[in-house]
Amino acid sequence: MTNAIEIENLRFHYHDGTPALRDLSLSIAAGEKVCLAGPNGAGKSTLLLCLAGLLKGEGVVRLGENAPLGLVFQDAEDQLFCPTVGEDVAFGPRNQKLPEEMIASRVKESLAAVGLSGFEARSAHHLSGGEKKRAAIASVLACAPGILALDEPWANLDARAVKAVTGILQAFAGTLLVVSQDLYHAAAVCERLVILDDGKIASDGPMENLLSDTALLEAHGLEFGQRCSFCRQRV
Amino acid sequence: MHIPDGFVSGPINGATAVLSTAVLAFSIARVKQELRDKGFAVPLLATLAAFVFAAQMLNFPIGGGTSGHFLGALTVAALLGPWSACIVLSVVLVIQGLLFGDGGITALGSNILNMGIIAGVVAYPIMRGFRALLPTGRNGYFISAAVASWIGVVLASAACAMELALSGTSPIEIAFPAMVGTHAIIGIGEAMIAVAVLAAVATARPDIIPAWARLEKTPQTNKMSKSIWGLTGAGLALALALALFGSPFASKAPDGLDKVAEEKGFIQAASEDKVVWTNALFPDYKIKSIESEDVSTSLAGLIGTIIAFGFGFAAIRLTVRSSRQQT
Amino acid sequence: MEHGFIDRYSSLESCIHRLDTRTRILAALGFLAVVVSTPPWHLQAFVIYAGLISWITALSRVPLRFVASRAALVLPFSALVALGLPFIGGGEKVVFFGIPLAVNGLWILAGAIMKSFLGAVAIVLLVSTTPFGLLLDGLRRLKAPALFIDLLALTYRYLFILVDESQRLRRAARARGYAPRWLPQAVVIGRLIGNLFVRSYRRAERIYNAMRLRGYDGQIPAAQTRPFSLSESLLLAVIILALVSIRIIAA
Repeated sequence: MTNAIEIENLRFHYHDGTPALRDLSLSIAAGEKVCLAGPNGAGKSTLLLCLAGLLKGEGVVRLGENAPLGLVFQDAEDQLFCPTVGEDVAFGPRNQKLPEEMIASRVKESLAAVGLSGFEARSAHHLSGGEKKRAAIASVLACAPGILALDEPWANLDARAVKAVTGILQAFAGTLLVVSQDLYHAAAVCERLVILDDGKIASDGPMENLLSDTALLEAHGLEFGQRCSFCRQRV
Repeated sequence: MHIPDGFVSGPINGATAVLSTAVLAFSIARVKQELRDKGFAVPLLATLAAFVFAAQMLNFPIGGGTSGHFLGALTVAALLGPWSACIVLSVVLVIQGLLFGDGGITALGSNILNMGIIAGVVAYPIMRGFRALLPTGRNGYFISAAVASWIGVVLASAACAMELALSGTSPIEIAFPAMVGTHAIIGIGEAMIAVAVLAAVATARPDIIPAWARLEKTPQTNKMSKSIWGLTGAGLALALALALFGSPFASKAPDGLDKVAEEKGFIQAASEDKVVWTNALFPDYKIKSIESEDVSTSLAGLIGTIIAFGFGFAAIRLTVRSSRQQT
Repeated sequence: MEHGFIDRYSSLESCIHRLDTRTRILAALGFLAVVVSTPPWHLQAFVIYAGLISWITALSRVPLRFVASRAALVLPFSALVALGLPFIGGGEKVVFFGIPLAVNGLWILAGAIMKSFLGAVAIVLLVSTTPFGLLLDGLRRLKAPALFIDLLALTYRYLFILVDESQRLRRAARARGYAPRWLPQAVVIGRLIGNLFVRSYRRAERIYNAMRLRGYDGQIPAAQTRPFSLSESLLLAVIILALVSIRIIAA
């Protein structure tokens, strides 16, 4: 199985010189579902932007034949910029210069995959937070990406929307890279956990194993699960 | 300052519409050329148009219970250039007219001319002029922005008053003092806000303004173009100020030629029925429909100065360009 | 910011809604041109215009009260500018309740109010019967410059978000006791707007990134368009002809 993502010795500095990523190396196989977690400022979002080609660091970033990489931002608002949801979802395929019928079918499939069938004529600013997030995902799915990367997909969503997003990610057939502080929901989707801290990879292994290492998680500002309000035990 | 439908006459609206369309078309072409990263132009200009709209909704008190609001034309020009400012303000005006009843669609030409072109494109060389005259550095930059913002707003209000007066909707004796008077005060708010915006940008995102990079270093380069801009901009501002405020005080005594003609008795030769050119725009430096002599002279001077500057500027640019091509 | 009013009635079913967007746009502009060019003393023409636009409003099923109230937003400014005229104008005068009013001034005032109001009604009707995205599309098909249309679309999309941000900033200032009463206190507004600018710029960069990631290369792609059908052209010609005839006859 060829690798979908190959990163070798990636280094990136911000404008003011602070290092964001220090000599980072990572391989993700095609079809793997990986969660990237870490404290704030660890460089997770920066890594995603480098992967997507929006930022250029030093080192090697290679995407296998499963490119293109679809990136879903944390704030869905900035990804829905067309007058209607339908046009937003069609934006990607149109730029790929696909024929009209194919564009129409992509739009229909993508909206169906996120549970927003029939939303073509709705305008983005009338949608709820969860609907916006799903519409943003649909707009990226329409580009038929082999790799799907998401930055904090469950942030600021209500329970229903969280469930919907989890379902969408579980159903995605390609390679998945999810940046998330929310290990509870990430565990339902990803089988591998990579912990990023201070621009370096602190730990990388099967989700199950790492989740039971409470000390490791705490050391990197992470927490798994919720505490029962009575007995303060983790559930 | 948004003029609704039916306030400005057909011919004036037509004239301003033609002028605004021309400048807007030119702006669109220039912006497409100038922006390094062309693709960024669309999201940037659009977001800034939304920004200007939102900023215009924040009122500030100007005393006496009334309030004014920010216009933003010169501020955008300082950040992105005069042509981007023209486009941004035009977008804002179209949306305000279409969706919020702020400004009539038939008056778009006049509104864009006043609030986009005069307050942004014309005020920009004035800012450059002051920057070149004042010592280089942050203070010089901010003072120029403040002064040019104020001038832009006041000139725009003067133009608005003129359009109303020339259409017969409001006599100039009322429109001019009312508009220019209130906007002289609102302009102070505009100047303050412009400086605040530029300062915020300078602190948080200095990479946005290319001029900032030049400000920090001691500029030995471009001294020549600095002085040219300085003379042009300052000269224009001075001329406009003189025309607007000084002309009513111009001496009514006959000038050299008139005096000699009187003494030698041939002044009668220049009588009315022997006039060759009957279509002078401002016969005797007056505007016919305006009764107040002072205001009339001021305005005639103002318009004349702008037209003269326009011709002169264009003539020099064309001459320079053609002489460069010859060498 | 309240913006439900913009598209509240744009998906109703009516013969006006069913027209091609371009027809509605051109008819509205034609109406505007005719109204604005009519001298105010031809009152009968204005009565006909008012009747015509009321009839079209009724046909469109958009509530008349809604249209009238949104159009009435224009009136305060109109009154402000033109109200003084009958009192100070020269020329022939007429006495009203003991006050001499200049006839000329009265006509100008009446003209300004009628024209600005009717113009506003036409635009409100146009915008209420057309979803904004389609309105822009209609303008694009009428050969308005593509860059400008793209800008209008994006600006509209983020308008309310930025307005909300600006209101939130002001509310935050108010919550800390900011209640300005004279000009120098405007410097706080300046800082709010400065903050708003930096945020707006950052948002523009994020939007641009999102566009690039979906293949944007500088041109926003547009969907295919229907050609103007013959019946639509005829209808538009009839409308324009009717308006022009009213203008000529009433004058």
